[in-house]
Amino acid sequence: MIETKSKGQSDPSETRTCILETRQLKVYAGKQVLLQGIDLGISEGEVFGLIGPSGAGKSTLLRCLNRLIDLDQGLRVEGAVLFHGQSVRGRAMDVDELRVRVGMLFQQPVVFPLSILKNVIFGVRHQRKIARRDRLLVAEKALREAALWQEVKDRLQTPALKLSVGQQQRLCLARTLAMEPEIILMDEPTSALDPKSTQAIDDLIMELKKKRTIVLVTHHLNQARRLCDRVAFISAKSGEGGRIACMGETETVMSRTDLAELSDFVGCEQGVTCCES
Amino acid sequence: MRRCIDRLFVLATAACLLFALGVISFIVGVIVWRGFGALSWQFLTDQIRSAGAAGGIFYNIVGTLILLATALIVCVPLATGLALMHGVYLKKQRSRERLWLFLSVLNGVPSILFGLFGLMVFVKFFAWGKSWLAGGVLLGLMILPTVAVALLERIKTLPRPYIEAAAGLGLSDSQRVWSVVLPQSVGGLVTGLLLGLARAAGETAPIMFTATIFAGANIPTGIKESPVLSLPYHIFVLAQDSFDPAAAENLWGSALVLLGLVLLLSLLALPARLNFHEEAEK
Ligand SMILES: Nc1ncnc2c1ncn2[C@@H]1O[C@H](COP(=O)(O)OP(=O)(O)OP(=O)(O)O)[C@@H](O)[C@H]1O
Ligand SMILES: [Mg+2]
Repeated sequence: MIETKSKGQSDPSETRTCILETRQLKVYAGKQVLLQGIDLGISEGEVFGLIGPSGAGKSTLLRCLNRLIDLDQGLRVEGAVLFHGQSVRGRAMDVDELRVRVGMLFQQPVVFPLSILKNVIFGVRHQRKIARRDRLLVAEKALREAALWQEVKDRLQTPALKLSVGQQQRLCLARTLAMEPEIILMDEPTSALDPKSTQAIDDLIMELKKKRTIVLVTHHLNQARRLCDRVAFISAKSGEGGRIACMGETETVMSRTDLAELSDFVGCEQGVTCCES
Repeated sequence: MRRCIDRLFVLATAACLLFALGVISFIVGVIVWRGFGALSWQFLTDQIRSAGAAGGIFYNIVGTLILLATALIVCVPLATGLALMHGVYLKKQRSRERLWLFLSVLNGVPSILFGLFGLMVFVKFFAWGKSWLAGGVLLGLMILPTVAVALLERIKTLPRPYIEAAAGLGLSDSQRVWSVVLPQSVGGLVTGLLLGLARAAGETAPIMFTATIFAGANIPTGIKESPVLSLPYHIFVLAQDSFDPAAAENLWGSALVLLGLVLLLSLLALPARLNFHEEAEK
């Protein structure tokens, strides 16, 4: 792994506290290696981007961070993930509590076949008792934060499946925000969306980063440039499993030309060359 | 040549279909034709008189419904538990396969053996004598595989993103079961139950030694020595012992009522099967 240090400015990860950290994180599926020795630290209040070719293991890495990977039988995880310095796989860690504090947004919006209101409070009502009359307040706050309130305030009781996909994704974000997570993991949250909805989510991320930490997996380098403070480029040579090829401040990483895989990837996006991976 | 084989195949399939339809319509036809004459308001609401030659089958219908209701109450929690074990809690493939094997074996047990088991355990060992409870429990156990499998098949097809999204929101295993797994798969439970109950309604073997008598019972008031009348046993006895033509008519009438009950349960299962998804989206 090569850590790129920016020359002039100080590295933000040094000044801020590290909230989520992985140490030599490895994931195996039987004999196959999916991730080989990932080390990264995510500081409080930043937007941390994960970029890399398809199949490199970005989603797998993300799912390690809130232990959603436990749901996959047959995957073996080694190494450590530290949340506030405490191992997430230790005995003292309540996994459900962890997933409340480290929320997740998926590539495809997953709304339940319930009303909009019930979807928003779907998670939070399990986390703490909410009186019936407070439900609206909780939902309103989350929906406002997800910039969806204006569009749905008159039809909270209608089925959430009637919403457009872009709205559904913001609904999912509202559902996660209602839990008041410290970190939100986003796995290509805009890849199923049209440009306008993508823009809405992008704006939201800019807004959210004032209060929360975000880990963003994205295929769009422009999105990474706009939103991320730092990025890690994950690459996988065939059959070897993903590793961090390069990590640092966004511009510094993007402008590196000495890494063949990275410049392939970046060039590919800009239509300069086309990579084979 | 290939055309020819295709044609033959279609013909053969059509013949099978016609044969099956023919047999079913013959049975239904005979029962309706012979039984329709017996049907009357009085037949449905009067109690049995002069060994089935007169009177009606009111308490037989009630008895069968009591047995079915008991079976339902016994079966629902057991089937739900087994299906959840299979779909949620058992993490090892091996243990899931064992559970599956157990259900297959249970499904293959002949119903007469359920009857003998009930005779030994409930009637003799618990000393209940003939009791509606024994019969209901046995019928519930007998349809357990049908219901559990219907439910667990539905659980298997649950969209995985639902489970992951719920887990991602910090819902524990049991919270996920209550707010995602069960609401999304209850259609499977209903389908399995109605099909299972339709089968249980007509079973004679499990209840003939354990729960039902031919005459002289009405609504049970206790557990011990409190048998009920029932439709299938009524038909069984009348068919075996009666040479009285009046009894024969009542026999066909009872058969028609039983057929109606079974048909009703099967038909109820149909919309539960088809409409489930729309319902969930309301
Ligand atoms: N449960 C599993 N069992 C075996 N292999 C798996 C499992 N889950 C993921 N993989 C493999 O791990 C590799 C990384 O997958 P992952 O989904 O993390 O990639 P990704 O970087 O997110 O790709 P994309 O950009 O297409 O989403 C893939 O080769 C995939 O086939
Ligand atoms: Mg992915």
